[in-house]
Amino acid sequence: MADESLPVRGNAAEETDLLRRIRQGETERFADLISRHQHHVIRIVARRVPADQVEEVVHDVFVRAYVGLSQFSESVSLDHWLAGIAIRACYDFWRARKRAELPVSALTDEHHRWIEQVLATQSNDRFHDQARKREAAEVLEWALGQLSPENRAVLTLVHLDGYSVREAADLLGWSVVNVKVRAHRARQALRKLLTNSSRGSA
Amino acid sequence: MAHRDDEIQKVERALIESYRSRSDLQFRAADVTQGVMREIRQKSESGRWDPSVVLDQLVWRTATIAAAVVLAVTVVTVGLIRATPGESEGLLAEEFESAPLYGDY
Repeated sequence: MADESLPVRGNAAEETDLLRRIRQGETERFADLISRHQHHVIRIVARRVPADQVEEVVHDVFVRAYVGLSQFSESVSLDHWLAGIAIRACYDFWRARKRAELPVSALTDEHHRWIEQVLATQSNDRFHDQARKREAAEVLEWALGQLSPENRAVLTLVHLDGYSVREAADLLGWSVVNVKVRAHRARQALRKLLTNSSRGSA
Repeated sequence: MAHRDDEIQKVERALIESYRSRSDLQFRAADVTQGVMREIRQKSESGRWDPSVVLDQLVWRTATIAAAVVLAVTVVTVGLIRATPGESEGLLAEEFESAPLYGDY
């Protein structure tokens, strides 16, 4: 499982006190909360949105967190709660982008060559080398770009991050059944894309 | 030519590994603290985004909707209870009077 919802090291009592102060009106204390959890949120967002959009989405996450602070029950860690907000903010980012109907980049010859090289690889070391190439990240981005925002969110959480269906449902605020169905459909869609990605048919 | 199932699994594994091997170093972004605090201060000054204000608004909205629903249900229920006995008698009488019997034509 990914460690995105794991709590950051820190004094829990100190954090409770910080939250209490913010809720009582010490707005400036929210800056301490941002400093403590910023890196955690950036890690989640940077894996999900283009690099030039990370800052804007992280900003949005903390504004949403401030607005919704009164609804934070402390039954979960603050990190886990922020992870949920971050994941939903990224989902909203892709929904907005889909509405704007921005064109999705196509696979190039380089990418097709990378796929062929992966398929031809026999040893583990060479396979790992291929997976670390720039083309791998680009092919993944291309494939995710073809999916609906819902399927993209679920596929990223369940198949790429390694969360369980229940955990993914909790983070997205969706039902377990919905996430389970989407996880299956998203995986099928990804496989179909890769199946048809051979030279000339993409 | 399309890829075979085992080939697809291999590409899938490579993509998952690519995703998981991304270094944390590339996740450095500018500090958002100042920007967020500026926005929060602006909204707090106008009183729109204070957490307690948001909670208050939520409580009042929920209470208003709940009260409206209870009122509507009460009115409908009272209306049904009052209407039922008299209405059934009246309707029956009306039906006997107005419905033509065989041979009345």
